[in-house]
Formats: sequence, C-alpha cells, structure tokens
Amino acid sequence: MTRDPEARRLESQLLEWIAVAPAGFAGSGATRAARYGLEAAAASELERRFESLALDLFAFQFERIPVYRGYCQALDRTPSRVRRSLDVPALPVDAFRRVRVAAFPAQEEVRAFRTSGTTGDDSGTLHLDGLELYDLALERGFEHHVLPDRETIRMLVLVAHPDEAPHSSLSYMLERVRRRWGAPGSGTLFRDGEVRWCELRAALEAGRDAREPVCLLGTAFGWVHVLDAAARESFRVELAPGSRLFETGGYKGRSRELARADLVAAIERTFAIPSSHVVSEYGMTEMGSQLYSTSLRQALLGEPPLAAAWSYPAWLRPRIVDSESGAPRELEEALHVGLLAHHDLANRAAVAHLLTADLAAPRGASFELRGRCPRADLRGCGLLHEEGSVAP
Amino acid sequence: MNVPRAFHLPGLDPAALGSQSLATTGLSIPRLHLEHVQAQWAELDAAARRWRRRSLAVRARVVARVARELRQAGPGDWQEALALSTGLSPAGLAAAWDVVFAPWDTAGIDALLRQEHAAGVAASRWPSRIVHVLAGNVLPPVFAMLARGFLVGAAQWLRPASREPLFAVCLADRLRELEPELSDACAVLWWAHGEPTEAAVLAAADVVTAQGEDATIAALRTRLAAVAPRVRFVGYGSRWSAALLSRDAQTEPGARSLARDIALFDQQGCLSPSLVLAEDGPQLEPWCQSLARSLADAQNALPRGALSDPARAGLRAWRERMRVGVALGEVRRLWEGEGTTWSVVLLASPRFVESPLDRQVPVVPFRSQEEIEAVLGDRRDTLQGLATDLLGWDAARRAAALAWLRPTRVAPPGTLQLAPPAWAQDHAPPLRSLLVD
Repeated sequence: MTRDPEARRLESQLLEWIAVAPAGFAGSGATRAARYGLEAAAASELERRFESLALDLFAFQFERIPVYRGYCQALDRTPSRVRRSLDVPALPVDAFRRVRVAAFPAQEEVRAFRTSGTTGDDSGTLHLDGLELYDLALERGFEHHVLPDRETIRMLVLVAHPDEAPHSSLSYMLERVRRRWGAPGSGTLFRDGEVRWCELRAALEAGRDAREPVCLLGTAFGWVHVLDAAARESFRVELAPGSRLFETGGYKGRSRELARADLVAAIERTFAIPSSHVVSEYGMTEMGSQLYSTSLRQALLGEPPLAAAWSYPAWLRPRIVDSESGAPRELEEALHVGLLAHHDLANRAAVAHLLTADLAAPRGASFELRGRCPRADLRGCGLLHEEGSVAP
Repeated sequence: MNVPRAFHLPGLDPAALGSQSLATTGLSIPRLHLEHVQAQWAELDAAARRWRRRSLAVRARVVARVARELRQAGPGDWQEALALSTGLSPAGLAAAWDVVFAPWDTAGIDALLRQEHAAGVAASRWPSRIVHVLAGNVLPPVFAMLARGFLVGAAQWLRPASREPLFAVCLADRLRELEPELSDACAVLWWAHGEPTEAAVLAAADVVTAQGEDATIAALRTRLAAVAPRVRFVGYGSRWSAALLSRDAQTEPGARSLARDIALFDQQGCLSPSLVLAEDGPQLEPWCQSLARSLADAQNALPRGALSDPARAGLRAWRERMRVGVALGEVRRLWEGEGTTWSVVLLASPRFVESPLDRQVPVVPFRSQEEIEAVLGDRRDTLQGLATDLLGWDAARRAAALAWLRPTRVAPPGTLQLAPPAWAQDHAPPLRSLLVD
C-alpha cells in the first residue's frame, strides 16, 4: 500500500463506503435511487457521499497525475473550479496506452493490468498500488449480480489462469471469484491459449451427475468457440437447475459473431441454462468496477424486470457525453447516443472519471450499449482469448 | 424524404417488376430477374448505338453542353433528397454541384481526348457496355465515370452505393430533359453485393469500374472473376489527399483557399486534404490560427452537413484524444470550432495522425524532406492529391518532394477538388483504361 497519507485517507473512506453501498440495482423505477431500492433520505445521503468522495478524489488525482492535470487544465476545469462530480473531466482511456496514468510512484506498484491491444505496443496499463479496494469492488459487484442466492457454486472458468496471464484483469477477477466462491469441482479449463474441451465436457458431466449447479465463466467469443465445438460433437448436457453462465467482452471480430439472442439460445440448447441465467458483464481494464445485466437476479429473487439496462454499483456513475459540448450528462438527462463515460470511485490509484470509446443510448437511469465509436480500435479483456481455439 | 425516384431503368415498366428495399434506406426499387437484365441491356445498347453514330468530336461537344446546363440548372427538384442522401448541407450541396460539372467544359474534354489520343483509337476497341460500381462518399466521380462512358459511346449501368443512392439517378433523370439519348443509354439500379442481379449485370459488360474501400474492390474483383473472367475490371480503391506548404506559402489567403478544399464534401473525398504538411517556423502557429478562422468562416458560409450520433461521437472521441495530446506535449496547440464542426491540431513534432474527417485537420510540422518521408511512410502509396504551394523553394527541392510523394493530382490550395477530365485517378488513364482487347 502506498505511503502517501492522502491516498491512505481516501482509501480508507472508500473501503468503508464501498463495503456497504448498494452493489447494483435491486428495484425498478426511473431514478437511480429507486433502482437501488432506497428511500429519499438514504438516496440523498448516497448522493452526498458520492459527490464528496468524487471531488476529493479529483483533487487527489489532479495533483498527482501529470497527464490528467494537463488534460484538465486544457479544459480549464481544475479542482478549484469544479463543484460537482459531473464537471470532473473524464480522461479518455486512450491515455492509458500513451503514458503511465497513476497517482503513486512506480516503486509502490503492486500490480499492473494491461489492456489487450491488437499489437504488442498499443496496450494500456492500469497501475495499482494496492488490491484491497479493487478486490472489494469486484467481489461486491459479482456477488450481487452473479451469486445473489448462494454461498458457493461449482465454477468452471474458461479464461487463462493468472499464472498464464498475469497482466489480465479478467483472469485476475475470475480467479479471485473462483477462490472466494468456488465449490469443490471448480477449475480453470483454459490453458496454453485453448479451452480444454475434454476436461470441460467431463466437468460439465460431473456437475450434472452430482446434480449441482454450475457457474460457467468466459468471454462471449470464447463461448462461441465452445458452442461450435459442442455442436460438432452433438454434445449437450442438462445442467442442474440454478446453473448460470457469465459472459463478457463482446466479439471484437475475434470469432464468428452471434447476436446475443442467438448466443443465449445456443447456451440454453447446449447446457440447459435458461436465458435468464446468462449474465452479461461489462468491464474494462482501466476500471475497478463492473456492470452487469440483471436477468439472473430477477429470475432468482423475483425483482422487477429492467429491459436492456445495465446495473451498476452506487460507487460507479455511468454518463453519456454530449458530442457537441463534450460535457458528460447524467443518464436521466442525456438525449442522444454518445460516448460512454464512467465515474468509478474504485479507481483511486488511477483516474476515476474515464471516457470510453463505447457508444451508449440513455435508458432512464441506465443505458444500452450501441457498439464502438467509429474508428475505435479493437480492444478489451476478451482479446486474451482471441487466438484461443478449442483443444480436445 | 421527397424522392422523385431511386432508380432509372429506361424502357422497362417498373409496374411489371417486383420490388425490394434499397438496403436500409427504406427506398423502394425494382427487383430484376435475368430476363429483365437482358431486356434492359438491349434497351441501353439500342440507345448507345444511336449515340455512337455521332462523331467523337460531336459527342464531346454534347457532353460539355450537358455539363454546362446541369451546372447552371442546379439540383432542382432533387435538392432536398440529395441533401439528405449526400449528408451535405444545402450550401454544401450547391458548392459540390458546381465542382462536379465545372471541369467538364470543352477545353477540359478536348485536353482529355488529346492526352489519350482518343481520336486515333479504333472504334471496336472502345467498350460497348460499361458497369460502374460507385462509392457513396463524393459526387464528382459519378459524373466523371458517366461522361467517360458517353465519350466512348458505351451503354452504361451504374450501381450506386446504398450510402448515397440518388445522385446517379438524379443525373440520369435530368439528362432526360437535356439529352434524352444519353438518358436512354444509362441505367441506374442498386443491388446487394453478391445477389443474382449483380452477376447478370456484370457478366454482360465489357468493362466494370468500381470505386470504394479496398476490401470492397477486392471482393468485387473476386466475384467478377468468378462470373465473368473476361470482363475488364478497373478498380479505384481508398485514397487520401494532403496539403504541402512551404514556409513562405503560409499566408492568410492560402489558409482561406485550403479551408475551402477541406470544407468541400466535408473532407470525404479522395481529393479532400485530410492532413497538412507545413514547413515549420515561427509563422506556422499564426498560420494555423488563420486556417482555424477560415474554417470557422467556412462553417458559416458552407456549413458542414448533419452527422449521425455515432459519427459525432467519433469526432468527440478524436477531439478528446487530441486534448490528451496537448497534455502530453504531443500537440502544440488545438483550435476548435463550436461543437464538433471543425478543428485544427498543430502537432508538436513530425508524426502521422489520422483525421476522422468532417473538417478535422491535423497539421504536421516538418523541416526536411526526410521528415516528410518518415511521417508518411507507406501511406505515400495511397496518396491521391496534393494541394501545394511551395513558394520560396527552389526547383530541385520542389521536384524532389513531388517525385517522392507521387500524387496523381497536384493543385494550388483551393482548387484541388476541381480535377480536370484528364486527371488520371489512381494513375489510371481515364479513357484508355477502358479499352478492350
């Protein structure tokens, strides 16, 4: 952990808040507060806390990260002028490819996660001086959205283990959740760039025979490879009720693309996992927190449906940037498709407010992804699997 | 959208044909079967034969007259539909309209015929049937391709792009009043790449020309080779243009002229400068300021067309990446118009930055020929046009720069887009590239 006293003070406040703040939607309604299921007073307190921490974090990061400071100065938005989190400049994630974006000296680094660029020299890096906050944010989000009903589950991970991919944030995350919630029979079935198909078959059949639910975790294009392999062998398995599948990362041109409905239908056909139990995750290396689809919670807990909307924790505020003014807008106030920004307070060690190259359309207190903005390069966690075929 | 019609099939009765939707535009167009394609070619052949009875010199005069009359008449009833399909503002469309036809005067056409020794070519070597597969980004090649076909006396079939499907139809439609024989000698119909209509139309041609992305051209070449290996194929792939300015040429009038080149077609054409190579010196920053002012003026006089939300978001993303460049010292200064309308990005050192187009202009400072070569690298191979003013450079230095850059067109700023009929796009001779063995 960093020796910077201001960093330690902020870290402590963030840990305390993120440990108890809502980790995702649990209700319906047009507003964020309603979706978190909060009464007015609690919602107001949540708002106040987010604003206060966001502004503190802005001042902290502005002071310590030269490229961010320069960017903010170019926009004439400095801590002395910014009064609300909405006005905190959102740094383009492209900056992470071009320069070290970190609020601490290099010698204090404990972990670095790299984005999977299309060539060796265009990847960006998230530098971390500690993992406590990172782990807390990812675990709370995962538990809320993927395991709201169980203490443990048999987890089959189809992404490289961190030993093979030490700089992959997705590998780190899935190994972390496997260790935390994985029941006996869990394992990583992706090695040397390939899904171990025979082992996966055996593990699926073992789960079925034990009548234990299974949680399958992998990238969208990884699932396409697996489903193609299953189709070639006419393999189907009726997994136990309560089984679920986590998919992330999109396709990025790395496999045959399947519309999500087709992917979900193929999953249901092959693994007997209902569409409601297929959980999509949206995340990026530069962010400490993740967003999720909500159908699993709705199916398991009877929560109201939220069509085409992403659920996100209270310490993360997605926004849509007005293309003409360049100003981020709260989702409820955005009018058009625009670039998606994320104000993620779990990003204490880098920059909290990030401008992505993803396009989004506002949907009440949430949004619908509309692909990448024109000319944006292929990138993302899922690329780790891009060379991955399915091995016997 | 008030569209008079989205196809032109002279001699065919649309009511007797099936219909289909033109890609995602919602426009309705006929669906042709093989017998319709054959009937259409026969109609075009008959009209082309009548047209070919006129001498080359007469054909040239008619084409020049038609170009002049089209230029004077403007888009007329097609104004609203074309503004929507091209994405240009009304003022932008008017300016573009002028640029399409202005070069096709008698002198320009005569120069083309002389350059290609057209009068000395045996009539049997000109193609009888030409198919043009058009790109959707700019208008001048549509008329240029059509005019070349008229000059050689061919029956022509144009396949417009779904992105801009109407300009070719508009031309054919206007020709009906101005020169019915020409209108009858050309058909315009969109088809989905790879559908049976395509094979039927292409296989009956002597020559197929195609403009567009390199991948589109390559795919079409492959499909054509499969259905009609003997048909001549002339592909015009993705190209780009730049400006090259010496220190002495960095003047206020020069900036105004270059801004016009940039504003025309909203930088979408292969002759639209998307990068400025400017000799470095103390005058460069003030000159960029002048260019910025000129782009701001252009936005008033020649407003940029409306863009989709994703396109505007793409411009915003690029703008913010440039701002990061300011923070990193990679960008010396950034000038911005209101919203995403325009920007000028003066780089701190010689390196290539790709423009997202729509009036966003990186300016690369250089001090030597070697720096130009290092900045462009392989991109030199796809350079089409160069707006250039090398005032103050001696002849040897000018020659060295142009010899290395090898553009197909060199013109003073403000005139780059006014390519004459004799311009050899992609180094292909305009008429002789159509010759059949």
